Amino acid sequence: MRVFFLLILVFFLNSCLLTGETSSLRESYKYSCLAPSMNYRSLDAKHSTKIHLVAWAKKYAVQAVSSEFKIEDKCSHTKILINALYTQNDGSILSWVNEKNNTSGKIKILKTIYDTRANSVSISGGFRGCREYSSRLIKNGEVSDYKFLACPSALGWGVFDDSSGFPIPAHLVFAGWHFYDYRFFK
Amino acid sequence: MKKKALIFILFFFIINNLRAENNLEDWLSSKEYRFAVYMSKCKIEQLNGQYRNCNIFNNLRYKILVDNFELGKNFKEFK
Repeated sequence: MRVFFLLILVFFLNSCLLTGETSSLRESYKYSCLAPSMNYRSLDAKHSTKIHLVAWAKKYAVQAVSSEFKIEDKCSHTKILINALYTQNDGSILSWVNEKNNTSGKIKILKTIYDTRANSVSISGGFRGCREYSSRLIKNGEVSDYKFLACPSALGWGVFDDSSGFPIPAHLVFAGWHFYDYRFFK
Repeated sequence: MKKKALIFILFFFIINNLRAENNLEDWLSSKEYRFAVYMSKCKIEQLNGQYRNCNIFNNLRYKILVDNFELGKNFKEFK
């Protein structure tokens, strides 16, 4: 019996350690409900493995004890995110409400940035049609705000670098957008 | 005992998945879902042989972006 439970434990630990993904993030991938603010802690833990290995364990522990939004809320937020990024003007706000779960969310497109120096053919380079947006999530009255930069291509050298001068990878690549956490631009 | 535990885990797994699918019907049948899945996979080969995703924002000229997003017109390419 003990061996059986040990095997199950090893299986779960293994899947986390090998993929660096939590079960909630895997569920979000399965249904393509990947709005970055909704999967923030899981993505942040995964993202940190690409930058600081030491921070990974801490962030992984934080996301493990944090309460998450349910998958239907994640999908509602992803729905308005896709809509907002591809169709909405700067300044527009889209929102959703789930009275059953006492949750709600909003997305506001802040601005669209275009670097006229960027070569339209080159993949690397400056901002090219990037959209800056803020995301507000409310769960049982508790408000969380996030800010992201969504770009159609990966940001190249000199735009968003770490202390060693290497470009910081996007938090997430999804639905044709590379999502960058605005914290790193400070 | 092992058998019971295994049946319990399988039952929990199946019920959980079915419940999720029911709650997600709106999302899974939406145009945004289809578009997100399509755009996550779509790649275009460029003249220099490199690939990049199909996001229309990659190809928009500055003027079009200004007209569509800063002057208040809706962007009509979303399908």
